[in-house]
Amino acid sequence: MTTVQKQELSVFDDHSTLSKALFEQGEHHVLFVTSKLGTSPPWLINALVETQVFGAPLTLNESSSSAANRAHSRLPIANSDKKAAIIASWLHSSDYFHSALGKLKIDQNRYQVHDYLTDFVLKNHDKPASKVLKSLIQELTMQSATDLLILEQPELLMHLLNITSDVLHLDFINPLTRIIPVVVIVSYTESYDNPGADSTERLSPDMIEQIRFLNGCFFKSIVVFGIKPLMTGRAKDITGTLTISRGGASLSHLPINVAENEYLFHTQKDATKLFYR
Amino acid sequence: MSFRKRSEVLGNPNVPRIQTRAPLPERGMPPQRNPLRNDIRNVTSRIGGLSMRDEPEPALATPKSSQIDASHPGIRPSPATSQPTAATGCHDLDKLLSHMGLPLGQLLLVQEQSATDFSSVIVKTFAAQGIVHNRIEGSNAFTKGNTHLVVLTLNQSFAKELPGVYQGSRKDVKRTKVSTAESEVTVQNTLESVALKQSVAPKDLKIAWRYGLKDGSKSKGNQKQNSDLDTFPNYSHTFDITSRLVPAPTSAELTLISPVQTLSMVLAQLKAVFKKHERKVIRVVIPNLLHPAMYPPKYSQLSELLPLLHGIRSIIKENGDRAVLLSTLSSDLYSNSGCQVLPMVENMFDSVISLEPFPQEMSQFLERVYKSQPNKIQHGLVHVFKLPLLSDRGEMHVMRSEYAFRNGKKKFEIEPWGIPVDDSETSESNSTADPPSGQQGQTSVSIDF
Repeated sequence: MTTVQKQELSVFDDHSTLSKALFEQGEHHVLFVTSKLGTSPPWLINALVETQVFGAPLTLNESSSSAANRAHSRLPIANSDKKAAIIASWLHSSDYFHSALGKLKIDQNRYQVHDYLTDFVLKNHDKPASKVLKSLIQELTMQSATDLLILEQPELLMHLLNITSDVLHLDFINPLTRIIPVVVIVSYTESYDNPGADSTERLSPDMIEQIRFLNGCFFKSIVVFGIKPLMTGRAKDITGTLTISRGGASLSHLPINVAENEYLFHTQKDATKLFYR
Repeated sequence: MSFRKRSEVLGNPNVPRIQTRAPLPERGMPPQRNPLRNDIRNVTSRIGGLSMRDEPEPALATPKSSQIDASHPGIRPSPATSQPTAATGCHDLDKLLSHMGLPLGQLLLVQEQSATDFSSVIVKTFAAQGIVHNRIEGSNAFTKGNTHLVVLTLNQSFAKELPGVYQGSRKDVKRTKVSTAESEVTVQNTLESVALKQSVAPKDLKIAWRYGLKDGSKSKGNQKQNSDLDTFPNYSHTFDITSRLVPAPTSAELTLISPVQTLSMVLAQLKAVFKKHERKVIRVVIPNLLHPAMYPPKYSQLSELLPLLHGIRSIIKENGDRAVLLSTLSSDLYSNSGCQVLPMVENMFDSVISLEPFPQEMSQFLERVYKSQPNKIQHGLVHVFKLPLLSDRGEMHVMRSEYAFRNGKKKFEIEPWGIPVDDSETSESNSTADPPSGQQGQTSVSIDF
């Protein structure tokens, strides 16, 4: 693998990761990231935040150390008062993201983390779901100056607040997508294996809701990033595959198209490299 | 499935006992972690006061200082990420997790397939290890102590079921008994020892001279050096599952919380324990999660189960510099297809391993193969789904059927799995396929001409 050329991450056909066209006034888009057991997506989340702060996912496209130095010396492209990205996570605490993004030399003032792991249950367990969802939207859009909102595992809200996928979409995802230009939904899809008609076992209601939520996200998104381990199992020099494909939403009104592609990637010691399939 | 040698040691046997490098603030370390300042001091003193680096001392650089004493006997830095790590009580499991233990702030789930209960051994040794660490300081343990155990169970006699520290084989136990009896100051012992010294001493000296052991102080010095190298002497213990920990842990060392109370009650009680034992490492254990005898049926619904796990995860992460959690779950009750319970439960844990006991045919095969070495018979496979910290940063560590486990009186062993060769089968097939060359031309059938 040492002779294989490293690949740069380009999502759109203008060779960009997050094209400027996405952030034009009045435009609202959803990007969907799916991950499976064995291939967590923190590196892709970091790359998207980095793109928003520095203009490109430097650590993915260059060697980690030189990218960090370059990132440090580089001036942020955006207005410094504006948060480049807001991350809301129901699985990890804010320390986790500060640690990971700190390694990329991203200033903590350039992004914001909403920690919905710590004490979320204690604070909201007995409250009505609609009230909780409203307060979440208020918190996330309070600094409406942001252009990129990353939601890590919002599907957990279905179980934490005991709501259906429709309620989650209608009362949470949709209002957010109407306010913020680009919303990235990061979901864990280990249980989603396209159970078709030949499935011998009855699907549980939880499973049906989960599938419904994921399908909804797929149809709303313009790009789907699928992160999966190799079909052949664990390999020493490959962690898994990143598949970039179009989602259900139309891009015909934009001057760009999704550059559908499949990469191999290798994550080791906080550094990820992409390769051609 | 790998075909590695059975004798191969798990992980890297030459794991450095001392961290010679100060953990970088930007490498794999959330700001609240405690980088064990004492180890750095030890190293600097060893290399003669050389300055380690120009970096600020990590403990000073972190905004939130750890409440745990750096000299805690049950904490050591991880060889993989330098995070403070707690022993699980099973040495091989420590190695399997790639950190020589479970890093603080991490949650480990041990799933078990079929109706066996091997995972209870891991739970009990994990719990007993915490109690043993707590008692290292002696009589202070009951009042002050360094570790506290929290068990979310309805089993009130959990404390009485914990295994004791392995004392050695029967012979060793007898020897230690004799030596302790001899060391007691009695008239008979003193008379005997004087007589023995007079009669045996010259003979002993001769033997000692022959083997170069005459200079006792030298050998003691060597031993001391070896023990010095062993920087974490009380980190991990071996437990004898046939014995019991005596005296059984009291309420000063262990807190039992019923997991089937209201959610807010469970979380409030757990928080109260963390508040009460502010300067202790807290080991949280959830044995037999979702066991039908303990949990009502409503807990198999994610809307009941997930808030509980989410709340517990939140508390462990909040106290990430002094808490670890181990839970076990029988995965047979929840199939992977069509049901979302298992994937969502796995999602709530940082590390997941699964035990798959061998079916009867396989056990019989192994018994046949290891007829002369019954202590080599493995009892099942170990699948690794997630490793602490490493999987969370995106590395792929799903290893199915690469390891096997063996449960013995002395310890729960995990080793690389390879299908053993059945010698009897090969010899049989050889004899049927290739008749001996010497007999090729001979036949017992009489031929008529």
